[in-house]
Amino acid sequence: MVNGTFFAALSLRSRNRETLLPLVLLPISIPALLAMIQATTSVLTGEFEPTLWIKVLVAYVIVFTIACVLLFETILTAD
Amino acid sequence: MVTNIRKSSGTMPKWALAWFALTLVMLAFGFYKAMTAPTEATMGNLYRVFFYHLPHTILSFVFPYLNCGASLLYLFWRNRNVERAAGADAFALASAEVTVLYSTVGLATGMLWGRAAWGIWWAWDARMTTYLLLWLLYVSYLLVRRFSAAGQTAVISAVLAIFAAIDVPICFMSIRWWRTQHPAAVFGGGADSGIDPSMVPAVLWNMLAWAMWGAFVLGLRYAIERRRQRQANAYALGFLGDEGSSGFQETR
Repeated sequence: MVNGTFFAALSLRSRNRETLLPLVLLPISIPALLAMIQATTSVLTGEFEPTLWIKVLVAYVIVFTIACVLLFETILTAD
Repeated sequence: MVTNIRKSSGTMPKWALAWFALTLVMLAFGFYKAMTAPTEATMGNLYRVFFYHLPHTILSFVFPYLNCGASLLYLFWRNRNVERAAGADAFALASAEVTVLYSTVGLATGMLWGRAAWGIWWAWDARMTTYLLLWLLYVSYLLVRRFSAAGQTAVISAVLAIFAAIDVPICFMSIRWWRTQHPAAVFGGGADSGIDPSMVPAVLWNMLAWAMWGAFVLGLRYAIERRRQRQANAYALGFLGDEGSSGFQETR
Protein backbone atom coordinates (compact mmCIF):
# COMPACT_ATOMS: atom_id res chain seq x y z
CA MET A 1 0.00 0.00 0.00
CA VAL A 2 2.85 2.33 0.83
CA ASN A 3 4.40 1.39 -2.48
CA GLY A 4 1.16 2.04 -4.32
CA THR A 5 0.86 5.51 -2.85
CA PHE A 6 4.49 6.23 -3.49
CA PHE A 7 4.50 5.23 -7.11
CA ALA A 8 1.19 6.92 -7.75
CA ALA A 9 2.80 10.11 -6.49
CA LEU A 10 5.79 9.35 -8.65
CA SER A 11 3.83 9.03 -11.84
CA LEU A 12 1.31 11.72 -10.96
CA ARG A 13 2.52 14.47 -13.22
CA SER A 14 4.21 12.41 -15.88
CA ARG A 15 3.29 11.72 -19.44
CA ASN A 16 1.66 8.30 -20.13
CA ARG A 17 0.87 7.86 -16.46
CA GLU A 18 -1.61 5.05 -17.15
CA THR A 19 1.20 3.01 -18.68
CA LEU A 20 3.85 4.03 -16.24
CA LEU A 21 2.19 3.09 -12.96
CA PRO A 22 1.48 -0.61 -13.55
CA LEU A 23 4.79 -0.96 -15.33
CA VAL A 24 6.72 0.15 -12.28
CA LEU A 25 4.42 -1.19 -9.62
CA LEU A 26 4.25 -4.77 -10.92
CA PRO A 27 7.90 -5.78 -10.53
CA ILE A 28 8.18 -3.87 -7.26
CA SER A 29 5.20 -5.60 -5.67
CA ILE A 30 5.78 -9.15 -6.95
CA PRO A 31 7.92 -10.18 -3.93
CA ALA A 32 5.14 -9.21 -1.51
CA LEU A 33 2.51 -10.95 -3.61
CA LEU A 34 4.64 -14.06 -3.87
CA ALA A 35 5.32 -14.18 -0.13
CA MET A 36 1.61 -13.72 0.62
CA ILE A 37 0.62 -16.52 -1.74
CA GLN A 38 3.25 -18.87 -0.40
CA ALA A 39 2.41 -18.15 3.24
CA THR A 40 -1.31 -18.64 2.58
CA THR A 41 -0.66 -21.88 0.71
CA SER A 42 1.44 -23.17 3.55
CA VAL A 43 -1.16 -22.27 6.19
CA LEU A 44 -4.00 -23.86 4.19
CA THR A 45 -2.24 -27.03 3.13
CA GLY A 46 0.14 -27.46 6.06
CA GLU A 47 2.74 -28.93 3.74
CA PHE A 48 5.56 -26.62 4.74
CA GLU A 49 6.34 -24.00 7.35
CA PRO A 50 5.17 -20.46 6.60
CA THR A 51 7.85 -18.79 8.77
CA LEU A 52 10.26 -18.06 5.92
CA TRP A 53 7.62 -16.34 3.81
CA ILE A 54 6.31 -14.35 6.73
CA LYS A 55 9.87 -13.21 7.37
CA VAL A 56 10.16 -12.20 3.72
CA LEU A 57 6.94 -10.26 4.00
CA VAL A 58 8.05 -8.48 7.16
CA ALA A 59 11.43 -7.62 5.65
CA TYR A 60 9.74 -6.35 2.50
CA VAL A 61 7.39 -4.11 4.48
CA ILE A 62 10.20 -2.69 6.61
CA VAL A 63 12.62 -2.06 3.74
CA PHE A 64 10.13 -0.55 1.35
CA THR A 65 8.37 1.57 3.94
CA ILE A 66 11.70 3.08 4.95
CA ALA A 67 12.71 3.67 1.34
CA CYS A 68 9.34 5.25 0.52
CA VAL A 69 9.36 7.52 3.56
CA LEU A 70 12.89 8.67 2.81
CA LEU A 71 12.28 9.38 -0.86
CA PHE A 72 8.76 10.79 -0.73
CA GLU A 73 9.95 14.36 -0.31
CA THR A 74 12.14 14.09 -3.41
CA ILE A 75 9.28 12.79 -5.50
CA LEU A 76 6.79 15.43 -4.43
CA THR A 77 9.16 18.25 -5.19
CA ALA A 78 10.34 16.82 -8.51
CA ASP A 79 9.76 19.14 -11.40
CA MET B 1 25.21 30.64 -18.91
CA VAL B 2 28.23 28.80 -20.16
CA THR B 3 27.72 25.57 -22.00
CA ASN B 4 30.51 23.30 -22.89
CA ILE B 5 29.94 22.47 -26.51
CA ARG B 6 33.21 20.90 -27.50
CA LYS B 7 34.66 20.69 -30.89
CA SER B 8 35.02 16.96 -31.15
CA SER B 9 36.40 14.92 -33.97
CA GLY B 10 33.71 12.36 -33.27
CA THR B 11 36.10 9.49 -32.70
CA MET B 12 37.12 7.61 -29.61
CA PRO B 13 40.26 8.71 -27.80
CA LYS B 14 43.32 6.51 -28.26
CA TRP B 15 43.21 5.00 -24.81
CA ALA B 16 39.60 3.89 -25.41
CA LEU B 17 40.62 2.19 -28.64
CA ALA B 18 43.51 0.53 -26.82
CA TRP B 19 41.11 -0.62 -24.11
CA PHE B 20 38.77 -1.99 -26.76
CA ALA B 21 41.60 -3.90 -28.45
CA LEU B 22 42.78 -5.28 -25.12
CA THR B 23 39.20 -6.33 -24.32
CA LEU B 24 38.94 -8.21 -27.60
CA VAL B 25 42.21 -10.00 -26.87
CA MET B 26 40.98 -10.87 -23.40
CA LEU B 27 37.67 -12.16 -24.75
CA ALA B 28 39.50 -14.33 -27.24
CA PHE B 29 41.80 -15.62 -24.54
CA GLY B 30 38.82 -16.26 -22.26
CA PHE B 31 37.15 -18.19 -25.07
CA TYR B 32 40.31 -20.25 -25.56
CA LYS B 33 40.49 -20.95 -21.82
CA ALA B 34 36.81 -21.90 -21.67
CA MET B 35 37.10 -24.31 -24.57
CA THR B 36 40.28 -25.98 -23.34
CA ALA B 37 39.19 -26.33 -19.72
CA PRO B 38 38.82 -29.98 -18.63
CA THR B 39 35.55 -31.64 -19.53
CA GLU B 40 33.04 -31.88 -16.71
CA ALA B 41 32.39 -35.30 -15.17
CA THR B 42 28.61 -35.62 -15.58
CA MET B 43 27.66 -33.00 -18.15
CA GLY B 44 30.57 -33.33 -20.55
CA ASN B 45 31.08 -30.37 -22.84
CA LEU B 46 27.63 -29.02 -22.06
CA TYR B 47 28.83 -27.25 -18.99
CA ARG B 48 31.02 -24.84 -20.98
CA VAL B 49 28.14 -22.39 -21.19
CA PHE B 50 28.85 -21.95 -17.50
CA PHE B 51 31.91 -19.86 -18.37
CA TYR B 52 29.56 -17.32 -19.94
CA HIS B 53 26.61 -17.74 -17.61
CA LEU B 54 28.51 -17.09 -14.40
CA PRO B 55 30.47 -13.96 -15.42
CA HIS B 56 27.38 -12.37 -16.93
CA THR B 57 25.16 -13.03 -13.95
CA ILE B 58 27.76 -11.95 -11.42
CA LEU B 59 28.45 -8.78 -13.38
CA SER B 60 24.73 -8.13 -13.66
CA PHE B 61 24.78 -7.86 -9.87
CA VAL B 62 27.57 -5.30 -10.03
CA PHE B 63 26.19 -2.85 -12.58
CA PRO B 64 22.94 -2.23 -10.64
CA TYR B 65 25.05 -0.89 -7.79
CA LEU B 66 26.85 1.47 -10.15
CA ASN B 67 23.41 2.50 -11.32
CA CYS B 68 22.17 2.96 -7.74
CA GLY B 69 25.30 4.88 -6.75
CA ALA B 70 25.02 7.17 -9.76
CA SER B 71 21.33 7.74 -8.99
CA LEU B 72 22.09 8.66 -5.38
CA LEU B 73 24.82 11.03 -6.58
CA TYR B 74 22.35 12.53 -9.03
CA LEU B 75 19.84 13.16 -6.24
CA PHE B 76 22.61 14.67 -4.15
CA TRP B 77 23.96 16.96 -6.89
CA ARG B 78 20.63 17.82 -8.41
CA ASN B 79 20.31 21.18 -6.69
CA ARG B 80 24.01 21.73 -6.09
CA ASN B 81 25.92 21.06 -9.26
CA VAL B 82 23.91 20.71 -12.44
CA GLU B 83 26.79 19.62 -14.64
CA ARG B 84 27.86 16.80 -12.32
CA ALA B 85 24.23 15.77 -11.83
CA ALA B 86 23.84 15.44 -15.60
CA GLY B 87 26.95 13.29 -15.69
CA ALA B 88 25.63 11.06 -12.91
CA ASP B 89 22.33 10.74 -14.74
CA ALA B 90 24.09 9.72 -17.95
CA PHE B 91 26.11 7.18 -16.01
CA ALA B 92 22.96 5.79 -14.38
CA LEU B 93 21.35 5.34 -17.79
CA ALA B 94 24.44 3.67 -19.22
CA SER B 95 24.80 1.28 -16.29
CA ALA B 96 21.10 0.38 -16.40
CA GLU B 97 21.40 -0.50 -20.07
CA VAL B 98 24.47 -2.62 -19.42
CA THR B 99 22.59 -4.31 -16.57
CA VAL B 100 19.75 -5.20 -18.91
CA LEU B 101 22.21 -6.47 -21.49
CA TYR B 102 24.11 -8.65 -19.03
CA SER B 103 21.07 -10.02 -17.26
CA THR B 104 19.47 -10.83 -20.62
CA VAL B 105 22.54 -12.84 -21.55
CA GLY B 106 22.51 -14.40 -18.07
CA LEU B 107 18.86 -15.40 -18.45
CA ALA B 108 19.33 -16.74 -21.96
CA THR B 109 22.41 -18.82 -21.16
CA GLY B 110 20.78 -20.00 -17.94
CA MET B 111 17.69 -21.17 -19.81
CA LEU B 112 19.74 -22.92 -22.48
CA TRP B 113 21.81 -24.64 -19.86
CA GLY B 114 18.75 -25.52 -17.78
CA ARG B 115 17.12 -27.12 -20.80
CA ALA B 116 20.22 -29.20 -21.44
CA ALA B 117 21.02 -30.12 -17.85
CA TRP B 118 17.61 -30.39 -16.16
CA GLY B 119 15.40 -30.96 -19.21
CA ILE B 120 13.33 -27.85 -18.48
CA TRP B 121 13.72 -24.31 -19.71
CA TRP B 122 12.50 -22.65 -16.60
CA ALA B 123 11.76 -23.52 -12.97
CA TRP B 124 9.99 -21.05 -10.77
CA ASP B 125 12.42 -21.32 -7.93
CA ALA B 126 13.66 -18.45 -5.81
CA ARG B 127 16.80 -17.79 -7.80
CA MET B 128 15.15 -17.64 -11.19
CA THR B 129 12.14 -15.70 -9.99
CA THR B 130 14.24 -13.03 -8.29
CA TYR B 131 16.54 -12.87 -11.28
CA LEU B 132 13.62 -12.43 -13.63
CA LEU B 133 12.43 -9.68 -11.29
CA LEU B 134 15.81 -8.01 -11.53
CA TRP B 135 15.57 -8.10 -15.30
CA LEU B 136 11.98 -6.80 -15.23
CA LEU B 137 12.93 -3.97 -12.87
CA TYR B 138 15.68 -2.69 -15.11
CA VAL B 139 13.58 -3.07 -18.23
CA SER B 140 10.87 -1.03 -16.51
CA TYR B 141 13.56 1.45 -15.51
CA LEU B 142 14.49 1.95 -19.14
CA LEU B 143 10.82 2.21 -20.14
CA VAL B 144 10.25 4.81 -17.45
CA ARG B 145 13.12 6.82 -18.82
CA ARG B 146 11.47 6.66 -22.20
CA PHE B 147 7.92 7.46 -21.12
CA SER B 148 8.24 10.00 -18.34
CA ALA B 149 7.91 13.71 -18.99
CA ALA B 150 11.11 15.31 -20.21
CA GLY B 151 11.82 17.47 -17.16
CA GLN B 152 11.38 14.79 -14.53
CA THR B 153 12.91 11.75 -16.21
CA ALA B 154 16.09 11.97 -14.19
CA VAL B 155 14.46 12.30 -10.75
CA ILE B 156 11.86 9.59 -11.32
CA SER B 157 14.36 7.14 -12.73
CA ALA B 158 16.87 7.86 -9.97
CA VAL B 159 14.25 7.02 -7.34
CA LEU B 160 13.21 3.92 -9.24
CA ALA B 161 16.84 2.84 -9.48
CA ILE B 162 17.12 2.90 -5.70
CA PHE B 163 14.05 0.65 -5.44
CA ALA B 164 15.37 -1.68 -8.11
CA ALA B 165 18.71 -1.99 -6.32
CA ILE B 166 16.87 -3.40 -3.30
CA ASP B 167 16.08 -6.53 -5.30
CA VAL B 168 19.71 -7.22 -6.14
CA PRO B 169 20.82 -8.48 -2.71
CA ILE B 170 17.66 -10.59 -2.46
CA CYS B 171 18.52 -12.28 -5.74
CA PHE B 172 22.15 -12.57 -4.75
CA MET B 173 21.29 -14.25 -1.47
CA SER B 174 18.44 -16.38 -2.82
CA ILE B 175 20.60 -19.44 -3.49
CA ARG B 176 22.03 -19.13 0.00
CA TRP B 177 18.72 -18.69 1.82
CA TRP B 178 16.58 -21.17 -0.04
CA ARG B 179 17.02 -24.60 -1.47
CA THR B 180 16.66 -24.06 -5.16
CA GLN B 181 16.75 -25.99 -8.37
CA HIS B 182 19.61 -23.73 -9.27
CA PRO B 183 22.93 -25.01 -7.86
CA ALA B 184 24.46 -23.38 -4.80
CA ALA B 185 26.86 -20.48 -4.97
CA VAL B 186 30.16 -21.10 -6.74
CA PHE B 187 32.17 -18.78 -4.53
CA GLY B 188 31.64 -18.97 -0.78
CA GLY B 189 28.71 -21.33 -1.00
CA GLY B 190 29.72 -23.78 1.71
CA ALA B 191 31.41 -27.17 1.77
CA ASP B 192 29.38 -29.04 -0.82
CA SER B 193 29.49 -26.44 -3.57
CA GLY B 194 32.01 -24.76 -5.80
CA ILE B 195 33.93 -25.92 -8.82
CA ASP B 196 36.96 -28.00 -9.50
CA PRO B 197 40.19 -25.99 -9.08
CA SER B 198 41.15 -26.82 -12.67
CA MET B 199 38.23 -24.71 -13.92
CA VAL B 200 38.96 -21.67 -11.80
CA PRO B 201 41.44 -19.97 -14.20
CA ALA B 202 38.95 -20.13 -17.09
CA VAL B 203 36.22 -18.66 -14.90
CA LEU B 204 38.41 -15.82 -13.70
CA TRP B 205 39.76 -14.98 -17.17
CA ASN B 206 36.27 -14.89 -18.59
CA MET B 207 35.02 -12.81 -15.69
CA LEU B 208 37.81 -10.28 -16.23
CA ALA B 209 37.25 -10.20 -19.98
CA TRP B 210 33.52 -9.63 -19.66
CA ALA B 211 34.02 -7.05 -16.94
CA MET B 212 36.30 -5.15 -19.32
CA TRP B 213 33.76 -5.48 -22.08
CA GLY B 214 31.00 -4.20 -19.79
CA ALA B 215 33.15 -1.26 -18.74
CA PHE B 216 33.84 -0.46 -22.37
CA VAL B 217 30.17 -0.55 -23.38
CA LEU B 218 29.28 1.49 -20.32
CA GLY B 219 31.88 4.13 -21.10
CA LEU B 220 30.81 4.32 -24.71
CA ARG B 221 27.15 4.68 -23.80
CA TYR B 222 28.04 7.31 -21.20
CA ALA B 223 29.95 9.34 -23.78
CA ILE B 224 27.04 9.12 -26.23
CA GLU B 225 24.54 10.17 -23.59
CA ARG B 226 26.72 13.11 -22.51
CA ARG B 227 26.94 14.22 -26.11
CA ARG B 228 23.18 13.95 -26.47
CA GLN B 229 22.71 16.02 -23.30
CA ARG B 230 25.06 18.74 -24.58
CA GLN B 231 23.28 18.82 -27.90
CA ALA B 232 19.88 19.03 -26.18
CA ASN B 233 21.18 21.88 -24.01
CA ALA B 234 22.52 23.69 -27.03
CA TYR B 235 19.18 23.35 -28.78
CA ALA B 236 17.36 24.51 -25.67
CA LEU B 237 19.52 27.62 -25.52
CA GLY B 238 19.14 28.28 -29.21
CA PHE B 239 22.80 27.97 -30.11
CA LEU B 240 22.22 25.51 -32.88
CA GLY B 241 19.11 27.10 -34.26
CA ASP B 242 15.72 25.51 -34.45
CA GLU B 243 15.67 21.80 -33.91
CA GLY B 244 13.40 21.09 -36.84
CA SER B 245 15.03 23.28 -39.47
CA SER B 246 18.54 21.91 -39.06
CA GLY B 247 17.60 18.57 -40.51
CA PHE B 248 18.10 16.88 -37.19
CA GLN B 249 14.97 15.56 -35.58
CA GLU B 250 15.03 13.40 -32.53
CA THR B 251 12.84 10.41 -33.18
CA ARG B 252 10.34 10.13 -30.39
